[in-house]
Amino acid sequence: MVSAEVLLAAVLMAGATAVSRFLPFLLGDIGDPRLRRLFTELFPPAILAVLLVYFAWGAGTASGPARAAQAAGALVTVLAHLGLRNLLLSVGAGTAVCMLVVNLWPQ
Amino acid sequence: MSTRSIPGHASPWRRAFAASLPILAGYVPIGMAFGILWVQQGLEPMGAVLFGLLVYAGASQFMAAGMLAGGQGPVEIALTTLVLNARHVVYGLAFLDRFKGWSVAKAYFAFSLTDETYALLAARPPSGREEGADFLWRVAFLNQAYWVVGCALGALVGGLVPDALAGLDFALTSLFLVLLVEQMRVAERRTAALLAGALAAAGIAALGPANTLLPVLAVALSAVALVGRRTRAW
Repeated sequence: MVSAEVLLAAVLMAGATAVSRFLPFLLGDIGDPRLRRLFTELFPPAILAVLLVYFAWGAGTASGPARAAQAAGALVTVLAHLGLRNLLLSVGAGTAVCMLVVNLWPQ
Repeated sequence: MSTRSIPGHASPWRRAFAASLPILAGYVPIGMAFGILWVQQGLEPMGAVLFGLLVYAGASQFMAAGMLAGGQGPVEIALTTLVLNARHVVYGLAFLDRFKGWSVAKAYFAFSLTDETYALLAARPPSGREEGADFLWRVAFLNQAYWVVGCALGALVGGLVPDALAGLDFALTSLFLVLLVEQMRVAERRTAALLAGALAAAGIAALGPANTLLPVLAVALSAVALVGRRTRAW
């Protein structure tokens, strides 16, 4: 079974996630179509970009090889996706390259 | 994201399954990556399954595995989750007119509206036959099933595999990248992403990554709103 701490974290996180996912269904539509456009068209890519930068930075404490591996993985992910546009293939290839580089890097 | 054409008269489960295949392909390996990471941090295997069932938010689950292993408290983790998942606030807007009144199906759909489910369903062509609630909740349900299976598989094998699986958690970054590439096919969204990304990089470089996510996000979104308004993007 799981510890009380893990259970509490799961319940609190579920609540925090539900708040953001239920909000639009609870509040209904934003009356102004322009405002809706801002929220549905411009904000999602902006938020994704901020999260990506933040997570990439979070790995800032990572070692040199890990950084190189992530850069290689990111490059392969983007190129694969631009070329083939298949979610599985892009994520799979990028992750595989990252794992290869980080594990095969000479110690 | 590819959506193959399925006859409109096929049963909702069949059509939902066909539509969910790209997510099956993505969620099982990424869920496994989470499960492996989870047990390799020394956490109980059952916890990985519990998180997949209750929390069902990829980025937050990865983050929580690290924070729990690092000794951070549940409240702190939940607050970070709130920030991390704030982006979900806009996702439901795309589906408001598909549900009539409240039902279990609608509540479940709201609960399970992840980045990938949103990207998959919002990307479906609005022209022609618009998919209704029956289809939407089934796709969402199948997607979560794939995720939970992935988490469980990862938790099972996590104890057996060596540390040679270092780098597996890159799957999450990779998934974010793919979602962003999809978004950036539209010029206005590309501008928004580049502007927000540049501001985030500048902000984090100046202030460091600790506790900067929320302020950086606020500044970036304000800038996107301002610039978008001036260029008449909204």
